[in-house]
Amino acid sequence: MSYVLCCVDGKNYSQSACDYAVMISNNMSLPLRFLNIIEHSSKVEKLNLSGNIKLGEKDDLLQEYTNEEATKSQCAIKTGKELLNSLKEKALQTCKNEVTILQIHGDVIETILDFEKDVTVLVIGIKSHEEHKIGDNVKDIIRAIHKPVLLVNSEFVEPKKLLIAYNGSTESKKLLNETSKKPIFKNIKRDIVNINEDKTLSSKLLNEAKDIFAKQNIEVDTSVLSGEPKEAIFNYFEQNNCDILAMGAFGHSRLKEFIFGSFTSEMLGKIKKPILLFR
Amino acid sequence: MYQTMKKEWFSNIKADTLSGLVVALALIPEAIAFSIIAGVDPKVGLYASFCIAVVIAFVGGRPGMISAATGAMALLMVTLVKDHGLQYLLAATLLTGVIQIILAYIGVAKLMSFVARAVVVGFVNALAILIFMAQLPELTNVTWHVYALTAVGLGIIYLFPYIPKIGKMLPSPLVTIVVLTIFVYFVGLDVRNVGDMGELPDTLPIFLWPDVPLNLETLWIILPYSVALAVVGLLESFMTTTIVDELTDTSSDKTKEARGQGIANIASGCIGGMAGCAMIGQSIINVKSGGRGRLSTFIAGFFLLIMVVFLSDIISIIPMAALVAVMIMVSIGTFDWGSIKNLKTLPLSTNIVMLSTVVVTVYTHNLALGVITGVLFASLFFANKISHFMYCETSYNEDKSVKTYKFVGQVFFNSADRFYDNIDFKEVLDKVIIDVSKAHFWDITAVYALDKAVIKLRREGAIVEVIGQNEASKTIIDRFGIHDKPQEIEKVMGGH
Repeated sequence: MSYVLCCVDGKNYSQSACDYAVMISNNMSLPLRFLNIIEHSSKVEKLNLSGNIKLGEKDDLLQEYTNEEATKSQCAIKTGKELLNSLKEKALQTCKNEVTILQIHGDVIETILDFEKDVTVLVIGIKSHEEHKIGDNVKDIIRAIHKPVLLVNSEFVEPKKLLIAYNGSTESKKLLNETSKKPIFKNIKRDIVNINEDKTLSSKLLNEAKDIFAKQNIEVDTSVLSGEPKEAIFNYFEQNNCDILAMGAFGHSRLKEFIFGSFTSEMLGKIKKPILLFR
Repeated sequence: MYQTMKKEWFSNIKADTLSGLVVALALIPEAIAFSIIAGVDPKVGLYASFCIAVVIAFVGGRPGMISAATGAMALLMVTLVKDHGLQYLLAATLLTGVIQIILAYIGVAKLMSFVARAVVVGFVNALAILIFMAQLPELTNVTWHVYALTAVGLGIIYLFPYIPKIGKMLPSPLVTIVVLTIFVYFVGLDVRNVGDMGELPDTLPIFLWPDVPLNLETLWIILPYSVALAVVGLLESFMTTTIVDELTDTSSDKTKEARGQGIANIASGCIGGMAGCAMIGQSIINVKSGGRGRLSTFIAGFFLLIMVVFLSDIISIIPMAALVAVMIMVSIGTFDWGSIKNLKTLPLSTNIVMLSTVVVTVYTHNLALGVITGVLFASLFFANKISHFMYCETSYNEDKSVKTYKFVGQVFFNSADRFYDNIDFKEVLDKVIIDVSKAHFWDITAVYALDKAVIKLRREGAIVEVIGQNEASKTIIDRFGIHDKPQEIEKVMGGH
């Protein structure tokens, strides 16, 4: 069973993520599932450095922690459930497929990884546009997940134009083949760009990409860009009023994953529009 | 990999750093106190605590747990140090590490399931008592000043945190040490201080291979000590693991912890430190102070060394009474007070198991023996309880020539006699049916009892039929049983 998974926490563009998820679910005719993860943070906020232990300290501590966490969890479960129910209701108005909701205790990344196998597209809301504020969590998710992820960092707008950053590698070509057959977006203009100093090679790659889409009767515009990749993509994105950026990331080395996480979060901060990531 | 590492090290940086500092301060008294117990210079315990804490931060299986030189281990070394000296202790420390790594690989963590809850509680309480008793030499044959200082120290430890604001920002054990040291120094009281107890570290630790002859004779000297150290170290580490797991609502990898303890001890032995293990009291202090990640353990070990090496002049004038006060606090905090409150409500057998663990440990100063006693008692009580789950129903056919014994329940060494006694051999019968379809035969004692009954009934002229052996019973009967193999009967009966 494959489906569209939308992770929501109520804080970070959950409503917008929901809208995109519904759209993708309709486009791909896949069931939609909303997931709310109740995270138990290992961060301790309240400090007690008195450093002494008294008779029965362990039992008292256990009691204290249990009470604190019980309240916290109950609160998180309640708000999460309300959010899920409201999103489900909202989704059902426009979604043509089955909509399910699920709450789970655990670590965000570990939980998403548990679900990853069956997920076709993952939709996640992200807190901030500002690059340095983009949570470590998001970087970690980008690094860990190996399925298409739509990172939603802005209010929902019906996407009109999709910008595809294409590097022509074997993996990205294969990916283009697959997605052209089963497009994530419909009724959208597609611009494919390749950043390359070698114009001839670049045009050749872009023509290949064009052919791939032509086979599915999808028209695309292509352009060769040059310069520093981040700047080039950003400028093109702005000048052509694109709504979503699609890009891939391949290679499995940890270093590459690390660099890539930062690249993506920088792009997110710059373009302030959703990014669709392929791994 | 990267995710886990990041989470275990850097998800709680501020609290981990501060709690590490608090623990480092509390570790100094403990390391010094137990070096003295083991009969070595304080620097042996301090180097060990530094090394074990830092190494375990990387290789342990329970983030946030504190390991260092401990009392439980120190008590096992006393005679080795007395009879053979420090170098043999270092060699024994290395061997302890090796044994722990081997035990980790053969799955010692699984054996912890044999240690019943009551034994764990007994272990913890015995440990608390031993830590307290270890302070007594400092409190006997001394002037009243020492008692007064200790009492004031304890007063500061428990009352200082009630002071608004700073009470929860400054570790009260530190305040105690500072106040008492300043007082004694300026008043010029003649009481024992840390400097009197032996050499303190004055340099960073260096690699040091134990200076012992590498032969079998050495091995036979250190092996018994190393085995005991390895076992006690793992036991206390596993129990501390459970406590930290419980407090932080997270899980741990016990096999990795066992291996980590081994690696840490080898490292400790290589820089002139004694063997150590996880510490219940210090780990509780760490969790209470907000320590959750590996960083807290690392900081604790690292700062311990920094403070000790660079402040050794100051440390040497700390009065022993201040350290005794801190150690009494550790002892009190380690004690499982809930277990005493529950004594009345728990079953007698549970209390006997707990108390026997405590008594044997306190008497022998060896926690391993205490645990073995506890486990033994717990198993016997369990066997006894399970043996009650067996009864026998009898019925006859119309002319009372055929009798059916129907056994229900568990048949094993402890209930085999009762099984046998249920059969009436005086009755004259044509046929006896022993129905064991609802019984379970667990061991050869059970099988032997059945064989014995069948043979005796046959000798008395009855035809015996055993029916309804369930699968599990069948396998045991088939493997050990003889009653369905006539040629074997004579062998068994030959002795009668």
